[in-house]
Amino acid sequence: MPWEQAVRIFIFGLSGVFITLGVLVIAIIILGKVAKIFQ
Amino acid sequence: MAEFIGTMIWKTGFMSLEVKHLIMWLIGFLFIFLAIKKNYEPLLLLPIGFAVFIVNLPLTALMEEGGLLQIFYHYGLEWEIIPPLIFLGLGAMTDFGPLIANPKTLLLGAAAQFGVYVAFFGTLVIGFLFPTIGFGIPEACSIGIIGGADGPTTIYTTVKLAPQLLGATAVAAYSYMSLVPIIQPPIMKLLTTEHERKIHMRQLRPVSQIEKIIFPVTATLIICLIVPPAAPLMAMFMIGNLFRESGVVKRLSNAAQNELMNIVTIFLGISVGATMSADKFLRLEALVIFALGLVAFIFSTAGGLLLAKLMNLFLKDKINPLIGSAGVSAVPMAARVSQKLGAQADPQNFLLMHAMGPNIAGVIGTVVAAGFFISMAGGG
Repeated sequence: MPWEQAVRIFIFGLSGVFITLGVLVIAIIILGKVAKIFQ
Repeated sequence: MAEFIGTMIWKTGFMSLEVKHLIMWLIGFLFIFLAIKKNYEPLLLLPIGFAVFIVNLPLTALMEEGGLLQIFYHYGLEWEIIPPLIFLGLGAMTDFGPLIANPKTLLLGAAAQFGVYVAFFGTLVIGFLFPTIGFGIPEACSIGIIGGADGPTTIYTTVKLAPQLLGATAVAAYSYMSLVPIIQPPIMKLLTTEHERKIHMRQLRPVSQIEKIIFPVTATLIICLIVPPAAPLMAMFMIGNLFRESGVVKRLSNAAQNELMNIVTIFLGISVGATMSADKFLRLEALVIFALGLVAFIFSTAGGLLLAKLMNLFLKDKINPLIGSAGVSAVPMAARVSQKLGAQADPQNFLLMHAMGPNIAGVIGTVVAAGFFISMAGGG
């Protein structure tokens, strides 16, 4: 069993999901501010 | 003449019937019963159930090269057409308003992918302890993604990484999605206090149309750049949503939500059911997949809840932890369960719209998790 690859998938996968959605959170916050300015 | 009649009798399906076929018929009939009588995911369980029945009729060759169901399966699933089209329809049906109004709920959708990784490791441990079962990393990814409770994503990942498991993983995903109201409440009650379930959340701010229009473009840009293998699902999800929010292509939006979605659902159900031939399904692996899928689902529910509790340690405006469990995709059932439990604790507590944020975030989170699996396990 390639445990090293498995651990890599676990760590990078789970943290990758958080990082990707975290970036999206920041983008939405910025989007809200920009939309407010244009309104 | 007698010889001719004898030959013809041997050419009928009756002479090739085996017990395994009858067992699969019963499974198919059970799905049909659950769809019609219990209303469990009828749009899928009905075509899946009937396809299970017909694919296990001997000598029909429906799933052999050139057979009708094999053609549906080949062009629909192997060519990866159906799951992205389902996402197009879902996007056209989705209102991202609650998510945009309270973006931190996206993190709950991420936490609810925890079960995906627990089941991933669980599958590898089983594969290590019982090597004959043949579970390696691609199989672990396909089984783990069941925990996201997202049928099309489970199908998409399995076709890419472990197509031999498609029938079992797809049926497990849709079964657990339909069982959300039964599986989740005990876990939610176990992990929250009465006081936490009574937390009222502040009303969501109104979201402008311009934000709703820019969001699908921004989300596509960010997600597809970070996880390119997620692009087929995410891009279609967001273009469907842009149809809806732009307001200028109502015909396309309606077609994606109704006609296209209905047609694709028919082919999805038939194609998934067609993979459940007795030879492929009546194996120990199928039972193990169902068990691991349940484990994934339980841990995903717990993951969302526990992150909401953790966030409450730092937030001024507290989150009701019940909305964390809605991060397991299953839209909108998981959000309805959050609403129901919140209302049980306090009839004046309305959580539905708050729970829709993590619920939709769960869909995005599962697609992202699938994208990472595909990129790291060698499927794309």
